[in-house]
Amino acid sequence: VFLSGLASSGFSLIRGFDPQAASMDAARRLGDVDSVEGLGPVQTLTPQALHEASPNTYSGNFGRSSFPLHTDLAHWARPPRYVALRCIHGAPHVATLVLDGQALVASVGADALRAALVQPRRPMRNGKQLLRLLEPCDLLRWDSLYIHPASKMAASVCERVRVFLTCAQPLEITLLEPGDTLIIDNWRCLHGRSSATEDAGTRRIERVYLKELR
Amino acid sequence: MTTKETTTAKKVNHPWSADALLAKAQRYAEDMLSHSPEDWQFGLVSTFVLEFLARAALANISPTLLADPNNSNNFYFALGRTSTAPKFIPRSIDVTMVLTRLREVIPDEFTPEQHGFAAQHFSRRNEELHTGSTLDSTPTAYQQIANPINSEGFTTNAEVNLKTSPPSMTLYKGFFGQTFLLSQSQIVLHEAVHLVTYFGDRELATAATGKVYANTTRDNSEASEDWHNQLKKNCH
Repeated sequence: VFLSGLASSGFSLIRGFDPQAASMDAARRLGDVDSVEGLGPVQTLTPQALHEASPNTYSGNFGRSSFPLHTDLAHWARPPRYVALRCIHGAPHVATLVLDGQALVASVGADALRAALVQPRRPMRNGKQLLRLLEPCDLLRWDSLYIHPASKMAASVCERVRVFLTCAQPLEITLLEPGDTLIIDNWRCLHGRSSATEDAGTRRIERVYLKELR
Repeated sequence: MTTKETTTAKKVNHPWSADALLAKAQRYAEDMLSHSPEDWQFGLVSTFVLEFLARAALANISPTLLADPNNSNNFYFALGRTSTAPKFIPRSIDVTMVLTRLREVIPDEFTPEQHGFAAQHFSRRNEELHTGSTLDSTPTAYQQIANPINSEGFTTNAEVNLKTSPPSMTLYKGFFGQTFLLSQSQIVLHEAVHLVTYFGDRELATAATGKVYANTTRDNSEASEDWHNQLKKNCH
């Protein structure tokens, strides 16, 4: 069932998915876990104030304010295909935002996105590789923070993306109960987080990247 | 949308990969288009576009074809490995060898005429970069072939979009779609050579087609027409 949800809308939500299981075990039931360089297999996400977080993270840039819509690791040549977000401890007033990137492609145009060259904001392995907002394999990438346009033409396309996202209405999904698991096609959908008040500091979500689903 | 590949996350592309080289060609092409086709800068930057396209076509077969054979560590690097040799700096073959290898690996697609044309164009670049003479002061330089925008039967994606003013990157809608590169690297090369005929001259035209165009002028480009006909024949 969750596979058909992914195919139709780019994400799938499974409520109360084996809440007793460790996130890694639950993820293995969903698909093949991707080992992502520099990250542990399971990452814990909690709302943090600006001053509490590392500066090269979303919390370090936005604190408890809402996180803008993005795809994970958009500055990588090939970002992880799927993101699984699993609730360990929910917060009723904090939502995960999801937007199907097909709407963005339809609005801005696949040709424009394919032609738009972007670069990581900082060098990686002594260089700044050139990437496309839409790769030939239909890998959509977007991040207003970690990638920058690499040409005037790309700057123009990026501006159109920003305008589109400003008006976009993402779905708001609350991961409230332990085991609530949201699987997002990271090559298709953008996601973000609503703002989190100080009392939402106990929210705890575990993230696992997957390269293939079962 | 097409079926997506399932694959492992990867931090960076190999610098000799077809994707990386093609993207770089595109960026140079954008820079090229920021100049007027009448300017020498347009011609100079076009040689960079052509070089990266040629390298991308070779890399699309295998990045190892770009490795300088004088040091086996270059092959190791091309295979995506990290050499343990101290102070090793990866070195790829020069553009002359790139053209030679293209002739060897795709002889039907990369014809002797195209080879000659591209070699001539790179020769012009060397003259610009290594001597005191300048492209814009050479009597037979870029301006002398008629602007192909004015040619009838100018039917490729590149041609149609060149007619817009100012030219835009949609010029490369097909050119940089990568579908070509994945399936038919020869078309990339065709398009590349086509692109540089845009500002070629009689000598360049002769190198491309093997014919002499004594009567070619800015408003009457027999060479350009020949090239387009050849393109159409090869692309269909």
